[in-house]
Amino acid sequence: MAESITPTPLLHTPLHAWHQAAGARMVPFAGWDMPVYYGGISREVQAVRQRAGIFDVSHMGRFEVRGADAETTLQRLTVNNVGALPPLGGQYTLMLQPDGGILDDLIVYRREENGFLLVVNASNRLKLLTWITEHAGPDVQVEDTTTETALLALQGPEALQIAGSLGASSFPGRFSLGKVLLDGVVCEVSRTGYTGEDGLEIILPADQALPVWDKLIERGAQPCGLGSRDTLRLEAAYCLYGHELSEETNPVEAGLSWVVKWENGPFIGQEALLEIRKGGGGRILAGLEMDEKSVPRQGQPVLAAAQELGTITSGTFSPTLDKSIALAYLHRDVRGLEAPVEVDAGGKVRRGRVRKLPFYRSKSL
Amino acid sequence: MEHPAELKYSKSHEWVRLDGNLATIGITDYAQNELGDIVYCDLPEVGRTIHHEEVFGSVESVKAVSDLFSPVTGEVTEINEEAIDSPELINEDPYTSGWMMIIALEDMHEVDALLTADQYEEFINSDV
Repeated sequence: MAESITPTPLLHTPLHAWHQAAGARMVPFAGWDMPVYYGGISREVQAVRQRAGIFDVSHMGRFEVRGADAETTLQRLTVNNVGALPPLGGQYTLMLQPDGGILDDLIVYRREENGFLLVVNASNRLKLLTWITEHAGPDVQVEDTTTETALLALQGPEALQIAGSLGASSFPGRFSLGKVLLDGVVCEVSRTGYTGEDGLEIILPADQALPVWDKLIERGAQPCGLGSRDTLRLEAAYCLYGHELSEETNPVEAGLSWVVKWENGPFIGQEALLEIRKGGGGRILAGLEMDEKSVPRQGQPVLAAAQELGTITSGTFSPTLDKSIALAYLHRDVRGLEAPVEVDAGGKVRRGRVRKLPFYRSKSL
Repeated sequence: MEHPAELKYSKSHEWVRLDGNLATIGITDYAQNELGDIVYCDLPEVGRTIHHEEVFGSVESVKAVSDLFSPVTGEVTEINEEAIDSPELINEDPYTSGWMMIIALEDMHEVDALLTADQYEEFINSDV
């Protein structure tokens, strides 16, 4: 009898049924069935920039790392300085391979002296769980709490006002954890986001997510999917794993040297990174603004005067700038020159120029 | 999803409106819906001869690029500059202000081979 292969079914967030009922365009992402857009990507981007949007990002990995060796373990595994975190403080950081390649970008929060919350990319959840466990000191417990909770991102100039209208009375500072009441539900929040606007990322029990989601929308938050999320982060020039970041890229070329606290070693990848930093040369992440609205796509070559300069890592149409924009790894010499370039879009030439990052800076941040 | 009865359709989701020997061409409501918000449209130069099933241009949304295949053969007599300047017209009015090009047909009978609205609807429903 022939063996048949049963494909692994896609995971569903606690709000999956809501997205389907709302007519969202759904797409598989990192093993989850996720909404790409509801009404349209541009409309959702504009809502976040002008008012507020709400994203279901429950697919992102959430780990609790506890124990007497938790801090030393995380200090060794991440490039930023975990030791500097006060209780409830958080920091953007990276985990590296010994050769300096990036395993993931993530946020680490300190709950208490020996307890940390990690929020990681959905696509790297299993990889990181394994990596942390393999490198953990003797007294470390790592718990994957991803499926117990929902994670909602409320973002935009009116985000805090909307949360306030549901009972939240005070908010944590940027990158810090806090607790707020939203429609009577105690929610953990962090003053973080991936859109370049002010806002909150909200963690609450999975079975309490739907009423809170509904209420936030009722109060004016626009439901937004992964499509607008990608455009918003690109406008803000935030890196995305699998595009600007991967095990084949290092923090120096990605423009993330500022995240690395060199004197707080040793951390895995530190030696390799020091060599890379000393070496100079190589490529660097740069921004492109296109002359036409044709969208640059990952992998497309970037040229100038028939010379190959590099490759597109991400591209989108930006409704905020009313232009198409892209990030690309280019030879170091080009950056800062506002140089004209050509993108090879499957044989068609699209013109643009290198420009400073970010593409957009919000007044609300 | 709208598919006007007086038009003819191709399996690659283009429509044809015939007026004498002039064929106006665009993409269907089903196609614009699949693409999402269209941000860019590439159309051929006036005067070019395009053949049946030849790629005559492309449309792009944030998440997708789609080639456009000509349902007929002939010379391009006009292209819709408005659709190039405001590609959202293709989403909003795919059969009227979102038209793409006009071709002077060499062979009027070529449209006979295209699908009727009913046949096109059956085709897209079976495709799912």
